[in-house]
Amino acid sequence: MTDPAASGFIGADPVTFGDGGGASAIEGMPAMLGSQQPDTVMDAGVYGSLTVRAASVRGASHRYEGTPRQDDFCLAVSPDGRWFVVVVADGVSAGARSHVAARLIVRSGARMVADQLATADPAALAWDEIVGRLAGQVLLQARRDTGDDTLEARDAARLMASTVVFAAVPTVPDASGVRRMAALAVGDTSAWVLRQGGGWENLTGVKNAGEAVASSATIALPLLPGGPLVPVATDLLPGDAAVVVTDGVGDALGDGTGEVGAALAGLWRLPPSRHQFTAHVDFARRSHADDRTAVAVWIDASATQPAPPARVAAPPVEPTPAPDPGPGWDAP
Amino acid sequence: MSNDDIQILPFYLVADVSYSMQQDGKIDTLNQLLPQLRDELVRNPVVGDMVRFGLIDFSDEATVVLPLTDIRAIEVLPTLTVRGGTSYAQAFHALRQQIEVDYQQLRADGFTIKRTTAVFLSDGAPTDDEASWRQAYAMLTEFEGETGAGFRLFPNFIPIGIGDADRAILSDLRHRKTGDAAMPAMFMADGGNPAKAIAELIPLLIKSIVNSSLAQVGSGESDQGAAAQAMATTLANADGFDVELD
Repeated sequence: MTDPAASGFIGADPVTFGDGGGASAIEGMPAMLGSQQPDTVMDAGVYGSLTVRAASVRGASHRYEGTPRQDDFCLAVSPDGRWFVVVVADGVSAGARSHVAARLIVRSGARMVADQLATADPAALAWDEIVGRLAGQVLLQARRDTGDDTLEARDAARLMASTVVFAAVPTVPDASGVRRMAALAVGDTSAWVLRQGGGWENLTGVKNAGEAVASSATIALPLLPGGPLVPVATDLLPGDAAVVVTDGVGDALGDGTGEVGAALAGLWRLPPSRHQFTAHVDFARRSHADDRTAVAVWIDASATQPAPPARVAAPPVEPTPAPDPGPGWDAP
Repeated sequence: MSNDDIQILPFYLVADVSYSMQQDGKIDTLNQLLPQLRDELVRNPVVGDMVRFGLIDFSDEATVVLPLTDIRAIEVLPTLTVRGGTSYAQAFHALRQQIEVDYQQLRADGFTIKRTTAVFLSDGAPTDDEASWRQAYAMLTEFEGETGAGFRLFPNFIPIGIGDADRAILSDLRHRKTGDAAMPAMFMADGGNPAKAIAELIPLLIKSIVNSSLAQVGSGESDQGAAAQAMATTLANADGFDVELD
C-alpha cells in the first residue's frame, strides 16, 4: 500500500505524520451515545473565488474517555457579500459542558461579526463589545444550565468555557489585487496563512516560544482578556490560504517548520477533497490527543479580478445551543 | 525532522531503600508499582504515548535504577532491593543530575518536555547531616525566574512518608508549596500498616499520573498548573493518608 499521506488514499490507517504513537488506534464508543455532539463534522464548498474546507474531529483522549468533542466552528458571509467569516472555538476540557460554550460562541459569533462587517472593516469593528457579548451569552447559558441566576463568570467557567478565534477574508481583491484579511484570537486558538509555494505564517502568536519547559496558560470565555482586543491583518494573494485552527492542530504546527507543518503545507498546497481534508485533520501523531479543528480558505490561484459573488441569504441563526432533552441525553 | 510538537511528561519515583524498607514487605509491595503502571499505560495509549517514567533509589548513595523510559517497551522491569542508610542529599543530587541528562537526551531527540514530577517516598529520617541535604534540596528546587539563576528544570516534588518518616522534614520538602502548581505532602495515617499503605498508594499514584496527563492533553486548554493540580487533587483523595496541601 502506498503511503496514505502522500497519495491521499483514505483507508483503514490514519494519515500518520512521523511518529504516530498508539493513541490513533482508539475507536471508543460513538460520540453521540454520550452527548448529542458527533465525533466529526465537516463543511466544504466554494464561495466566489474562495475554496473552503472545514473539519472538526474528536481527539483520541475524548474518544478514549467517551466524552464529547469540545471544538467547534462556524462560517458566515457578511450581508453585502464582501467578507467571508470563519469562527473557531475550543472548549476547555476542565468544563464538562464546554462543548456547549464552543457551539454557542461560534454560531453567535459568526453571525455577529458577519453582520457588523456590512458597515465596517475588521479593523474598525467593536471587538471588545463582540467578545464581551459572547462572554455574556456563555454566562447566561451556564446560569440556565445550573438554574443559578447569580452564577459568576469565574464559577461559570468551571462548567463551560471556550477560546475563540475569528478570521475575516475579503471575497474580492482590492484594486491592487490583494485581499487584506484580519484575525483576532482570544486564547490559544490561532490563525495562520499558508503561502502559495511557501510555508506557514502564524498571525496570532506561537505558544511557548523560547521557554525551556513548555507551559501555556490560556484565557477562555466567559472570562475576558485584559486590555483592548486588536485584530492582526495580512495580505492574501491568489494561491494563498487562510487557515484557522484550534490548538489541537496549532500545537502540532508549532512554528510551522516541523514535521506536521511541512506535511500539511504539502498536502494543502491546493485544496484537497473535503474527505481528504478531514482525514488530514484527524492525523496520527504521538502525544497529540486533543480535539482538532481546521478551517482553510484558499484564494483561487486564477482569481485575479473576479466578479463579486452574488449575495447569499444569511441562514437564520439557530437557537444555540439547542435545549438539551435532559441529563440522560447530554450528561457531562 | 523536528519532533518539537511531541510532548513528553516525565515522572520519577525516588524511593528510599534503606534497610527498614524490608520490614513488613514494604519494598516488595512497592515493586508492584512498575508492572501495574505499565499495564495502565498499555491500556490507555493516550497517556502511554506521553508518559516517561524513571526510578531512582537511595540509601547511603543513590542509583538511577531506570532512566526516564517508555516502560511499555520494557519486558523485564527492574526491582528495588534494600541496602544501607538514608541519604537525602544523595537522592536530591541524583535526581537533579538525571533530570538534566534526560532533558538533554529528549531535546536531542527533538521532543518538548513538560516539567518533571518527582514522587519522593521515604520511611525514615535522613541519616546525613541537615546542612548537606538542605543544600542539595535547594540545588534541586530553587529557581529564579527573572535572573535565570538556579535549576530551570526543577521538578514538582511530592514527598510521601511511610512508617517512621519525619513529617516535619518531609512536609518542608514539598515543591512548590503555593500557587497553581502547589504539590501535596502525604503521610501514612497513624497506626496504619506500612505495606498496606504502599499497596493503597500504588493505584492512586497511577491514577494521578493518568489524570495529570489527560489534563495536559492540549496543553493550551490546561496550563502547567492544571496538570499539576490534577496530580495534586487526585492524590489529595488518598484513603489512609493525611494529605497536606495548601
